[in-house]
Amino acid sequence: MPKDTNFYTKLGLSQSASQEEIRRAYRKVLLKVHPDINSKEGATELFLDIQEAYTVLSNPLTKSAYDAKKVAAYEQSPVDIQPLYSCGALRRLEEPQLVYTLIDITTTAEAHIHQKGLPLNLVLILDISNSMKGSRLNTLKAAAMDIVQELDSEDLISIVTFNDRAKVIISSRQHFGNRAIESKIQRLTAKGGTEIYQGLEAGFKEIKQSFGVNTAHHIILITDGHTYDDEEASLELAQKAAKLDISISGFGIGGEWNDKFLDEIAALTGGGSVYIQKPQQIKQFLHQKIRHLTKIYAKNVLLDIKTAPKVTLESAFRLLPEVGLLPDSPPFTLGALRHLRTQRILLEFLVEPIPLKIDEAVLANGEFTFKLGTREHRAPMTLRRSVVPSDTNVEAPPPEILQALSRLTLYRMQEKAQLDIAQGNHKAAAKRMKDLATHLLAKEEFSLGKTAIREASYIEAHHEFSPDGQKKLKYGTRKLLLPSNQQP
Amino acid sequence: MITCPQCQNEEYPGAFFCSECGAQLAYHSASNIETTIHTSTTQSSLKASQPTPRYKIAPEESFALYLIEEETFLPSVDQIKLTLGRETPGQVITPDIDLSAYDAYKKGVSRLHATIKLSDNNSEAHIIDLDSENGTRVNGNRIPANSEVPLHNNDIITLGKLKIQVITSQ
Repeated sequence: MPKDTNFYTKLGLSQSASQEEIRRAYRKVLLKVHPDINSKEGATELFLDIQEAYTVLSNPLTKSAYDAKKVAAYEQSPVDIQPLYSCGALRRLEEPQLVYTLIDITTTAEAHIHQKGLPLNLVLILDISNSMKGSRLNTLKAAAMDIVQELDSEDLISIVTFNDRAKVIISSRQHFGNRAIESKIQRLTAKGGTEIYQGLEAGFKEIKQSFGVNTAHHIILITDGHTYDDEEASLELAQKAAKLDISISGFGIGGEWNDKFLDEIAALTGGGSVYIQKPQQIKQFLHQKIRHLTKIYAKNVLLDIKTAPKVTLESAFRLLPEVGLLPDSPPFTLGALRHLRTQRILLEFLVEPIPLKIDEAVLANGEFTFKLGTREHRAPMTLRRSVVPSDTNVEAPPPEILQALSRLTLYRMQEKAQLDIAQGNHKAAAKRMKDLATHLLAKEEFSLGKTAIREASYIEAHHEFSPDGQKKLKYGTRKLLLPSNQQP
Repeated sequence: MITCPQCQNEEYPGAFFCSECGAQLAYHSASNIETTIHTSTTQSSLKASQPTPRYKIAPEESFALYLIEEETFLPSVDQIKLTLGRETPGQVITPDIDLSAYDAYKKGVSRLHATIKLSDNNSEAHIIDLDSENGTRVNGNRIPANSEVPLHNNDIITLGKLKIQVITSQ
């Protein structure tokens, strides 16, 4: 094994450690290796090493110089993977226990990558069915025109519309000027039904026509209605798209669209799904989405997880860059990784009772794969915890995990209430909505809390959710999962 | 298994929140206090106290609210955070000050309309509109929902159409 030359790991610290943490870690290590205490062979060298590490890190000036050099030295690995666990160690229990892991994957290499990121090949698929008439279509047109303006000259944009049939109104290969694109958008009118598969298929064909290795591909589907009998075909198409690294995001306007369906498409392809309550918000959400598509560094980010025997992966969530569901089982398609940005995944493992002899348990072996240009990179990781006796005190979990779980609990309460209703148990659903309201108001989420109160009475009266309320709570509680320093 | 203190649901060790009622299970760290109000008890204790007036009228306090059209002071509440609204039967979270008696429904006051926050010595007050249906105005200007707006002596707050004057000792 090569000699450990990292000053941080020598002191058992991460690079984000504060001066106070550095000082404390130094003193702790010192107690073990000081020549006055430890007379073992090699202790003096270790002591000198620690001295050197502390001298550099305790001075902010030399520390930042060291950090910069460290980044350069680590250029070989383009990503940094940091797992964070809900517990310091597993306890040797006679019953199953839960462990949560937050995994951050962040790009590290800077020098040889040009900052701008990959150009974008974007397809907007717009619903122009009859229900879009009026302010929905008008604001959508304005938002689409805005996006055209915002894109870079290297980016490609196509626009597909659909009702009962799909039509490519702007193809990226025809190189229209912005004026021509605007007039084409301006002339759209709403009529007919909603057949999402038609739109998706046309958009998929269009994006494939301008397929490039060094381009990021993304489809944004904007709809306000249910599609009928073509969900399965649409999901198959989404799987095909995922294989080609085309991610699909779904924007649902109002209360009448199929949220499970758009969620599933997003989960399969590494895209996102968004609930748009009022048409005026379309622009804001589109801009946000486009921002998430700039400075793309790596494509085809995939996380595969193989759990150890007697460990099951109970659930997986993506928290960054956008909160989203992941499919029921790995591998997880995560879309693109942006320059110097983080993808954060929350995994929940259930561990069966641990036999006496084991002192360390592997939870899972995981591997991120991603593409830089044509090269495929692999970043393996092993998730493991040591095992301590069952009567050991459990320390508090890291605040990031506690916060994420607290918010996840709220999201799941809302999901469970939907399940209650599906099972005909509206009383339980109403009760759960009241509990949810209490927690939301306690967190000063007044608007969402009030929605939950309204839903509780609506459920009591109608034995079902109101369409708007259900979506507002689902996407509202999901949004709370965004780490607090990342919230807009 | 861990038993939830609120609803007796059982969770696996390693869980931090009850998956049934959402209560926090084992940890309370200072940075992340998850306040838990038990809905049913909140409601029943309020109902029990209903027959007797909950607040005494005390305009000599350093902070008071005066209803302009009704020419009366609102009962004062010894809290640094008080929510104004109106109570309706079956409501889960009730306001600290119930304005029903002052035609609140007709005047478009929401059930939970606005919150007033006072500093420790009542020297500073802020109002937060709770995303109410008909909005809150301070001296005639509509304030944005869910954000703190400072209040001064003699300011007039309008909840829907209900006008309330702020009186502070300053």
